[in-house]
Amino acid sequence: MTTNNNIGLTLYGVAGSPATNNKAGFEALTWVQLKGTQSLPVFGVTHNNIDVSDLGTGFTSGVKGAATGNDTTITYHGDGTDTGIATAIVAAKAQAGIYSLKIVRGSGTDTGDGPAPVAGDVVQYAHGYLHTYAENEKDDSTFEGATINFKQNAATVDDVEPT
Amino acid sequence: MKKQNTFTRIDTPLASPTGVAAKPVKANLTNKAGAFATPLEKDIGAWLKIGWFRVNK
Repeated sequence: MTTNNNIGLTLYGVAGSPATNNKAGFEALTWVQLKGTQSLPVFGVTHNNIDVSDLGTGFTSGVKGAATGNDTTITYHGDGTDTGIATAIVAAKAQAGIYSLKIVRGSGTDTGDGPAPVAGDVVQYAHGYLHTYAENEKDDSTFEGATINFKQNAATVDDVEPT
Repeated sequence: MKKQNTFTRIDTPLASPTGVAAKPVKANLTNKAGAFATPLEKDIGAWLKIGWFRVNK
């Protein structure tokens, strides 16, 4: 087992969702990198518990309930004019904000924005919506940047970069 | 009796050369936000239902 740090992870986005929440659906999308990211959303879901009591046994058992997608944050630095970041800002401000994200552990050439994804690299996909665009503090000790929240609306899809 | 020409209608694509897989047919789609997708043509129905539409790319 190898444990890596998170340096080199990159984020890609698309202002839309795939027709199917699977590898084929996400691989069909045309992804654009969101450059300058500092922290990435954590994909995942949590499940409700449904209590089922039983008078005879006097025990309340739990059964697994519906899943809910994570609501996590993307943090980036910059003025928001990067092409990918700009699409995310537009989505976060839009009424529906439908958006898909892809986290990549790339191993390709780094041209200044992290290692490029090449075939076989590990990727994670999720779709949902973006919301709550918030710019950083406007003071003399804070750099330019913002946060955008991502609400996941389906299970995470693990894949590798297609050829 | 004069021999007539006969023609055979071909309904199926010609088989690809041995060892060469046929390239899957893909559709070019876009949506209102300006994103692009290229799903397989056979899956196109599901994409059109959720707001994607065809585009010449």
